[in-house]
Amino acid sequence: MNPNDHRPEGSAEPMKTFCHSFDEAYPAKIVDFHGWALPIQYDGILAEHAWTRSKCGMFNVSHMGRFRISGPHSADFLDELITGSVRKVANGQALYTLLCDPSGGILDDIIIYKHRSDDYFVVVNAAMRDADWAWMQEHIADRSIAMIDQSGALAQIALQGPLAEAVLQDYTDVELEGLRYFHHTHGTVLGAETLIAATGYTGEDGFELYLPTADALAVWSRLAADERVQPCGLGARDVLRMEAGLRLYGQDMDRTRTPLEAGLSWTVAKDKAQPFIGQAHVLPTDRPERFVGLTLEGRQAPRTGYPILDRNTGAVIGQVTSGGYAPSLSHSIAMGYVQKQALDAEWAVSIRGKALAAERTKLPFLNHVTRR
Amino acid sequence: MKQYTESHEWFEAIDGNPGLVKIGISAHAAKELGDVVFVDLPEVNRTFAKAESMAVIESVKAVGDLWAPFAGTVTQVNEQLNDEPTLVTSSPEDEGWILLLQAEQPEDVDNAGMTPDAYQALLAKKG
Repeated sequence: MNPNDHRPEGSAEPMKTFCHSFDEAYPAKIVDFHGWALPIQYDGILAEHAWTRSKCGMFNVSHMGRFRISGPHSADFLDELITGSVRKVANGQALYTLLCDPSGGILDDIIIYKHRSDDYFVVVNAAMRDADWAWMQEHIADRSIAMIDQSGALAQIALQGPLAEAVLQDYTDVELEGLRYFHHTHGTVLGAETLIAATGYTGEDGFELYLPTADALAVWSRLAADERVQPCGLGARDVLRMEAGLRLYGQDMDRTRTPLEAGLSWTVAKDKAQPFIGQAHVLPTDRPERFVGLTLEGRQAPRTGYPILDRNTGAVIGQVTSGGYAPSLSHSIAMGYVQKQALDAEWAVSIRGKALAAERTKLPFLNHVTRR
Repeated sequence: MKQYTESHEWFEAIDGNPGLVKIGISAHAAKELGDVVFVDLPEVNRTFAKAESMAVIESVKAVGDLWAPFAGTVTQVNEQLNDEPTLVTSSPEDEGWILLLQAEQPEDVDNAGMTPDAYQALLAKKG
């Protein structure tokens, strides 16, 4: 099976998730996101953001890629491709890690859920799904590996926010209190067989649910009818992840950046026995720029591509990759790359010709995760 | 009577002040823009040529300009937007007005825009 199967051949029609009929009927404001028809907002980005930070936001992220990888050589296979090591996480634990090319350039950031040492579930970015699938297939070599693309068969729903656990607990047989952060388990949610994972992309406590696409609309609709739950679109998701200092692949990093440059050297496993692709290049410090967080005083939004300046000389020292008004903080924030030798300078961001002072800020800007 | 522009501003003459108008963005533009989080207001007494950007309206996801429908001078800005930029979202054609503009040539005002009906027809056509 090939991930391309989901898009009708020769058609420019956007792909649709299980939720499309719900989104149209709501009605949500729908946009084309990497070939998918997805909601940018249901009731407004600020309202959805605030709801997620105070109650429980619900996100349909079924556009992402989902692969099952199993077989006796799975650990060898995955550890050859990733900066981390699946051998260093327990069964039932998840790993955030990177795929790199032979020069250490980041190909994607992914989450690997380890069921057993020979059975894994891998979630990749929507825009990189075909490329990651091909990259993995290429590197199976003569190993005994079964790779199944479950992107179509399974849907992915995130429940995020301080009330996420209380909400989900009402609909599942799994005792959620014992499920630790970045761990996962199997159970039923409203009768549907579900992989329940304590992961997310908002900086909030919460869960991601992987369940049969055939059951997804019924589960989503029932949860949406719960007064504690607000359906949220891509707009709120983007603001939430920026506040949490979480990078967006294709925007905050790509193949031209190494894990060190992108501030992700912590994903590189120490004392990893097995060599992996790009290993010699992921950590050397000779790269000219570093990924940083910036805080601005006002509400003017530093957007993708805006120059970062030396406040005193006016020289361009870097570029914003993600930025905007952070509702939780009541001022603007940005992430981007700055030249190594300018890291200690006083910064500004150039917004439509005006240089606005910006302070370097340690990431994340905000983190509400309370789960152990 | 309110007039509208093709670039989605509205403006309305202030009675007793020839050539003075109140300007904002249309309800349609506000809906397209989404939640407004910042309005970059010009200084009072600044003059603008026709079709020059007088103010910048920033939403979470986008940026829009307020274009001058005719040449003129800013006599007042809606200071309330500094504290409550969301007024542009919640009440774009009333409380969310952006500035007062004194036309250089008061007679420019009369035909600088279209009627509400013509504007609605334009939106319908663009679908």
